[in-house]
Amino acid sequence: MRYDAAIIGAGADGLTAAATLAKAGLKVVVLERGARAGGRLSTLEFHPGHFASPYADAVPEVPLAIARALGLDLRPVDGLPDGLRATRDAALARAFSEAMEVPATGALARWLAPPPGSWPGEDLAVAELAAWPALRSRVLAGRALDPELAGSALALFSLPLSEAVSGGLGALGEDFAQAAESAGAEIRLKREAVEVVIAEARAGGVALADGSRVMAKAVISTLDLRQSLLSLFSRTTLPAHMLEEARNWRMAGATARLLLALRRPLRREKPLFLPGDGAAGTAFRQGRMPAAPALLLDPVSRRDPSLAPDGAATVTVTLGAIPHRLFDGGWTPEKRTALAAHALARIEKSVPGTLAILTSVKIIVPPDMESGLAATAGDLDGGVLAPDQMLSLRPGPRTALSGFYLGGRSAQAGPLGTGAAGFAAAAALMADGVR
Amino acid sequence: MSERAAALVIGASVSGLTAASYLARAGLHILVLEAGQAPREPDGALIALDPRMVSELGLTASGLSFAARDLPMALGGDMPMVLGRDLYAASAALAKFSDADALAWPTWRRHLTAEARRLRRWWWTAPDAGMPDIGWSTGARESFRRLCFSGADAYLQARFETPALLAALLWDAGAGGFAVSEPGSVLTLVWRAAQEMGGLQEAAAIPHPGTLIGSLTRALGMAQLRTKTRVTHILTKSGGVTGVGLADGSEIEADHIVSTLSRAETLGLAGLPHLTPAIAEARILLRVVPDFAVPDSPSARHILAARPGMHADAHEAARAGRIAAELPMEWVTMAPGVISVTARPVPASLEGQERLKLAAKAVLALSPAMPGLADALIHVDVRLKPQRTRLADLLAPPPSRLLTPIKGLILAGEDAEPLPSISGRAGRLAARLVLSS
Repeated sequence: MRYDAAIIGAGADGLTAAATLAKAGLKVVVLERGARAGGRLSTLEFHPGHFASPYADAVPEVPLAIARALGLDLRPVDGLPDGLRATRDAALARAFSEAMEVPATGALARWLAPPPGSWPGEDLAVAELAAWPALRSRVLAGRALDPELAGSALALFSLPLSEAVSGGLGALGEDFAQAAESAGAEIRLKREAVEVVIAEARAGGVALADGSRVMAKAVISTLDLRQSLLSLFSRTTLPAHMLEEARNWRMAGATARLLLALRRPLRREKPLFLPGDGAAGTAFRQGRMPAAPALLLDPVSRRDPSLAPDGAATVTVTLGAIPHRLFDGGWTPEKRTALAAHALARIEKSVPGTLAILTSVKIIVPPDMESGLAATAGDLDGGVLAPDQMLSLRPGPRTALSGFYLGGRSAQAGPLGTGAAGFAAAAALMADGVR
Repeated sequence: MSERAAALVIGASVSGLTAASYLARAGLHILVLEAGQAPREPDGALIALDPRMVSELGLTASGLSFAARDLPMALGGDMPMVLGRDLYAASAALAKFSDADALAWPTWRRHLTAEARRLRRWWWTAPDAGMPDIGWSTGARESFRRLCFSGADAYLQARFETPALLAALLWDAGAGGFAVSEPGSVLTLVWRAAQEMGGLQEAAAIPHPGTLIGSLTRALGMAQLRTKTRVTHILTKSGGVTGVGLADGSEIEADHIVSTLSRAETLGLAGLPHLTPAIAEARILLRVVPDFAVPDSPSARHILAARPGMHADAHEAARAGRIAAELPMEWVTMAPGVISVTARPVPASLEGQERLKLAAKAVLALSPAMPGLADALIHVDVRLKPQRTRLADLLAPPPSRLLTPIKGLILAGEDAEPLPSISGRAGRLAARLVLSS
């Protein structure tokens, strides 16, 4: 059996691509390494009765068109100022329209094409995040971003703005999976893609870890750029410039999370942000544990009571600038405990009484993100959100290998919205036509 | 008011004397007001001394001569090498540490030079508005856009692997107060390449002590130089300058003022709100006993930066108000017995004790190459030059760097150049702006 498209990864992007293609009547299969679909959209029962999403509490906004098409039930988190939202939507529209446009082939056509104009939002490439004090905390949480440096404002496009109404991000992940399945896509779990099969100089299918092959006319990878290009192909298959691009692609996981089960709700109702201490970036670059990293405490069960038993509470803590690789060796249980103890001590100072009602802590560090999500270095953004890795300088859905598309966070639309890169990859695939 | 001049120049620096000379040639009555005892000798290497100014003012004929020109970049420490204009010699020096870098160097330099050639004209004689890439080919525009938006750390790490080389190149990228990950930091490399393009005169150079200031003073002609005259405020009326107030209480009337102080200092004197950057470049002048041999042969600008990551760390520390434990530095020999050390980035406000610490740090950093330096010291002087250039400043057309919100008040300080430097060019452009109004 030959599919029209094989999609690697059943995260929001993969499922959006699958739903979009299946709705258009294509035969689609989604190959997922894990035992469940949803990717980072997952909910974990980390302590009996206490639920939380291990990777994030909210995700970048699901574009309205995608939410509608897939019939998702979302809760918007209050958010972006209108101007920024309009700019982001314009950038998203640009990414989608470029995906839908078949690129000109031939030297003459390329020469005649008008020069590409600048992208919406390019002015943010020289702006500082510090200029948006109200939004700073949610952008800095979980990142090693210096808000005083030019270009840091671009990360505003990835501000987490969508969360599930109930049941944590896992519920949202189920909605995505259901939308894809009801559109007619096939989701195969516990199927790990190990190589993209090349046939007649184009992507022709996917080889799986169990030795079987899934043949397809086109392949969409929602893995990050490094994994897509460096792990799914043997070194000699791809042109040198593609490998070079993948090698120079910067990824830096910096997120650690603590999931706290509390006997009683916290006295505090609103999220609490403790900024970093002005040396956190140095520690991060040197692979040391920062003394005081940026910290965001979010009493998530206040908004979604289903995440904790009656009378109890679930709280998440997101730390930024936590190195993926420590200079003095791996993330041992002792180091994890030290990280948690340090963060809890800072929290206790700001919200006294927290330790007294604490029943359980789950610690998640960048290597856990890496193994859980197959994200290089545990980078949840699919690549550092620096000016030279954003907008026009982020790789589009098309690659130099025909029939092979990038649809994950590393792709152009990735940071601009949840599911956006998957949608753009599907749009590009349809525009190019399936042989 | 007792006195009146057509134009006043604040500060008898290279740039101030240049502006005054040009204005005096136009027949205007010019006063140069210098707070110090004598005109100010440059405190570091010149970068791209304006060749047009040198020939139009006849500086060579009136005594200008150079102790060293076209200074190469010298790297010390574990990986000593000298990188000069000769691509093949540099490549051979690099080959000792990395074949890949030796191979990449000439290609990269040529690429940088090509970008510099395109941008050079913009930095010298740009129109009053617009962007430099108008009229370029699509390929050139794409390449330029990538350069604008790239941070030097990632950009260089994609090309080179030798840590000492990366650390030294990142030193240049941090000019003007850029963090090496910020957009614009790659353009500082292009800017330096543009300075080095026009021949020996235009690269980093050291004049024989006194000859540059001496020849400029002779070029002053009818312009009058007044030392020990401190300007305490700039007088304005309905948005235009009317003169200056001096420390001794007297006032001088003028319709035009060229200030060689920094933008922040100048606006401060005029009573305008101004932002002083939080970080600075420190210039540390070390005077040593005459018989102390400074190991600087052939003359070079010596970069003291061993670890590529230290630039970003020092920037973060400086913004937090601390002097970094590992501080990148550069030193040159200004004259026999005078060493000029540049250290950046450091906090812009450093008290006496902290300045002393900074000087000690410089001496300590130089000591491995100069045993006995601490004992040979006669005098130490620390100057802080606050600076925080942004991509937009680097691409701004020249008039926007020189003009102020006050009519008739024109800047010609080191920070009126695209990146802070001593070249005299700002003075010449300031004089032209005065004459055209």
